Amino acid sequence: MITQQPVDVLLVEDDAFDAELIIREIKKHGVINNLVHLRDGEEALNFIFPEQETPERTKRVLPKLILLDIKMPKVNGFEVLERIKMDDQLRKIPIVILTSSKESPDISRGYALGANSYIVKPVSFDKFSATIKELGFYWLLVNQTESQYR
Amino acid sequence: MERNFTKKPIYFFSERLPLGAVAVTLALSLLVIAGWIWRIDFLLRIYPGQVSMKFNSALGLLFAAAATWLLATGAHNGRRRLIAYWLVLFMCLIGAVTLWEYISGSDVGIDELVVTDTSFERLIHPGGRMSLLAAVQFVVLGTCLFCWNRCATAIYQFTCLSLIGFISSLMLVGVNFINDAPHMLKMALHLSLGFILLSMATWYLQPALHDRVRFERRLYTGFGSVLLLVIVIAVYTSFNNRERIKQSFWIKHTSEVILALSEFIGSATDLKDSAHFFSGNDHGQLASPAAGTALSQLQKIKTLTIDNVLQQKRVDSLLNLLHPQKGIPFGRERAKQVLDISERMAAVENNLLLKRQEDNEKSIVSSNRIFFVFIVFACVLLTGLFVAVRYNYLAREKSEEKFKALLESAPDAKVITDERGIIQLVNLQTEQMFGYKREELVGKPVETLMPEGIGVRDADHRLDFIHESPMREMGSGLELNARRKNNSMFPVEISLAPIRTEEGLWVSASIRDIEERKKAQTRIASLAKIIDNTSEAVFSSNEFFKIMSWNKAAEDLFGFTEKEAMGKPVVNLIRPQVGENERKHIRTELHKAGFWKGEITYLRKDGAPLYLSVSNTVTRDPQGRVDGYISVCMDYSHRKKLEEQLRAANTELEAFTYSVSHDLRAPIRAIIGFTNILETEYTGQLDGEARRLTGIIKTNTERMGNLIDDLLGFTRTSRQNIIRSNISMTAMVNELATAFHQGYPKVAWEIHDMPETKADLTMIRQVWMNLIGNAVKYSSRRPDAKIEIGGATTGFEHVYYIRDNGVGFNPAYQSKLFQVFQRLHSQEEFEGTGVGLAIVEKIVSKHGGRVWAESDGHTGAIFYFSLPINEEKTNI
Repeated sequence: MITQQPVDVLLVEDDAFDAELIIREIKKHGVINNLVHLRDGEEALNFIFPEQETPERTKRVLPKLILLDIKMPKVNGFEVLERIKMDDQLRKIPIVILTSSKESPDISRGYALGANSYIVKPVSFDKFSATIKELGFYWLLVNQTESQYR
Repeated sequence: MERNFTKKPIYFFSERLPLGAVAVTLALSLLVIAGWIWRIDFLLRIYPGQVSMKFNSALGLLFAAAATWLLATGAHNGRRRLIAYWLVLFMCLIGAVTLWEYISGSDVGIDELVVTDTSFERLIHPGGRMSLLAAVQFVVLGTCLFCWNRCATAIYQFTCLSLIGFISSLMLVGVNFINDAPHMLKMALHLSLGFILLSMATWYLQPALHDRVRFERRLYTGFGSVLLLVIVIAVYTSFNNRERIKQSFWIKHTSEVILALSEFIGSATDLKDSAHFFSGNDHGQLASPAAGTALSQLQKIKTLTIDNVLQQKRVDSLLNLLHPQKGIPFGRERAKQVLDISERMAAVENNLLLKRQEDNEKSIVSSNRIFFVFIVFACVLLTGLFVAVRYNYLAREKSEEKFKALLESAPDAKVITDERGIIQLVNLQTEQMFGYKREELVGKPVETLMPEGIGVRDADHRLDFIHESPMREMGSGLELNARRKNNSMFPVEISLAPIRTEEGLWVSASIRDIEERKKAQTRIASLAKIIDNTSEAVFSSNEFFKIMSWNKAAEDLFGFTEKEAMGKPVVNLIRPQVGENERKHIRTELHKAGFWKGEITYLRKDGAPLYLSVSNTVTRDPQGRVDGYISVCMDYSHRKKLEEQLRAANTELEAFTYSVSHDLRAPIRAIIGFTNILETEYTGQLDGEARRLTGIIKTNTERMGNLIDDLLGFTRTSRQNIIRSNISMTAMVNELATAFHQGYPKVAWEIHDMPETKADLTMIRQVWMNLIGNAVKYSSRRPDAKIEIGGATTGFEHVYYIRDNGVGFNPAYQSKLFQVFQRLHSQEEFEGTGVGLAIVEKIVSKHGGRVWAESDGHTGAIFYFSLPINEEKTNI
């Protein structure tokens, strides 16, 4: 789902069902216009750091928010997070870790690498739904970002 | 110090001196024998006019000296001894036979058996017969030699030999010069000398006897000799005086005769002058009174010289001349004859007087000389005795003083007994050890203290003890039981030492109370047993790391037997796999702290590695220098394997937990999520039953999610470290109660003040949350629900409780209360996963505390948990 439109949210999630549920919830609340879903870290890196400097991509399309899962095949969420936060330009993008893991080492590692938020996906649907709604609402509408004024 | 007592005493007469004397005697006797063979008079009597040494005496002396020499130089040698005894027998025989001759007055021919005595004594003494004294002395000396080195005969020998020496000395200095002494008593000068030398040598060559003759006895012998000497002097003086009286009588008598004669000569001269007046007388009678006077004077002379035959004859011829004779007138001629005869008589008497006076003077000089010699002899003897007594007294006083100081300063109790085992001296330590006063012990048998005795009572045993084992030292194993005054027994160790005292041979017993040591020994023995039976390998090494001990467990562990291990360097034997730097580090640590604990890999005998938990300790000598090491090794291999397994299991568990939290939750979420989508987006197509079913799916899936979450929470608790901080329990509980109160407003709370504690804030909060949650859950159905929370400090721990009046639990299942996923109520009754209380138990036990609960099954429950006060360091 690569588009030329400005991307609001970049969702990096290997679990298709989780991704579907997230996308459904996001769309349901109508906060987000354009959401790009990538299935693993590799895809995410390719999307963010294109190999070829194509004319279309010289002007980088920066997402307003990245929702990042940790446990993914090939390249995991931490690696993606690390790469992004090492890039001077990209580090400004808020990154929310959205994961199943409640393990404290994961949480502390996420924050240490510069994650802006760490959210555990609730099992209960109601809670899940509420979480996603609040998430989109907060990061895209409440939170003031630099890019909006550029 | 005690050792000095055991040394052979140093005698003034060493062995060489008496042996020299024996040799001199031997040479002397040989010379005399030679003198007899070649008739050299000087060799026989030394001093002219003295008696000669007879051939038999020389032979006896030769045998005696030879026997003494043999006995002194080789009494242990049976052959030598036998030869010596034969020689002594011959000597005795010579003496005895001579003695028999004296007693019986017969002559059995022994005197001139070999050589004929041609000396002048033959006139008054049987030729070649030795002195009576010599014969007796040979027999007596023989008996002494037969008893060579026999301690029981010490006193006899001492007396006999002293007498021989004394009498011989007497002979040497005195009696031989007394001409009037009976010839049979007289001994030759060199025979006396020989006897003196031999008797002294015989005594001093038997040092074993010396201790047996006390100083007192020697003193008695000395005084006895002086007494004997005095008696001899007295007898001699009386004998001498009688002689003197007799001589003075004769001198007086002779003077009387001379006086009478001179008177007679006066009368006779008168008669001669008046002779021519009578010449005319036909009758020729001496009718004058002068003649009568001369006659009566002559008569008197006759009675005076009755003892002298020649003078009597002269008196008779004078009488004849003076008597009136018929036909022969007393004329000038006869008067001249009378004068001549009487003058001759006077001359004879004068000569006699002169001779007697001379004899008397000679005798006085001689007796004076003898008297003087005897007195000097007696004086010397007395002075010697006095000096000996004085010296002995001083020495004894000094040694007694020293001895007493030594005795009192001795660390051990000392008991000194005489040879009969009677206590003579004790020291302060003895009084303290046994509880007796000194006065109570002295004079009592040693059995008072030592019921078994000290093993020196028997005389022979004692001699063995003195000569063969000169001293029993401490630690040489004489352990006995001693009895205190209060009759309590205690073990002692005794060392014995002989003490030569003037009263004889005493025994000094050093007594050491070894009760404590015995106990220590028992303790050491049991420790040794423990070390030998312990499952840990224990070995010790000296300061050079050479193995000094090796227990059974070490044998089993390392595969080396004790024999193989002893004395080997540790590094070569069990080859610790430790680098040079680490070894240095361990050694420094050991010397600094005195011990080192750690893990070292050693190699077994077969080369297999042994992972050992080693505890090394330094041992030090009394000066504080390191003198060895003790290593206790626990086989760590097994533990190491277990630890590795545990680590692997933990890693696995972590991986499992990780994947559960990620992967297990995702499908659950998907089920719930999509069921929800189904419910919301396909509402029309689902009937009531379908909705109920989707509801069941959702409920169960959600429960599964909760179970997984709780389980993960529980395992997380297990792995979490405790970070302690001060917690105000009262504040924490109040805060939580307020939070719960919003959910359950009907519950009445009663919260008491509780002791503060130092623990992990998050964890303790979790504990209270779970406990309060439980209490609320199980009591909230009651309209009068009440929860009481409190705590108190009891000695070493804080105990907190929470009481509710809910449904409680069946006490039969109390043990299952805190187990994971264990529920005492059904899901329908009360919701729950059964993890809450398990987490409580886990947290509290991680803090070192305990959790327990009480309930009668219907009127609520009380849950307790305790936190130890001194467990602040537990950070598992």
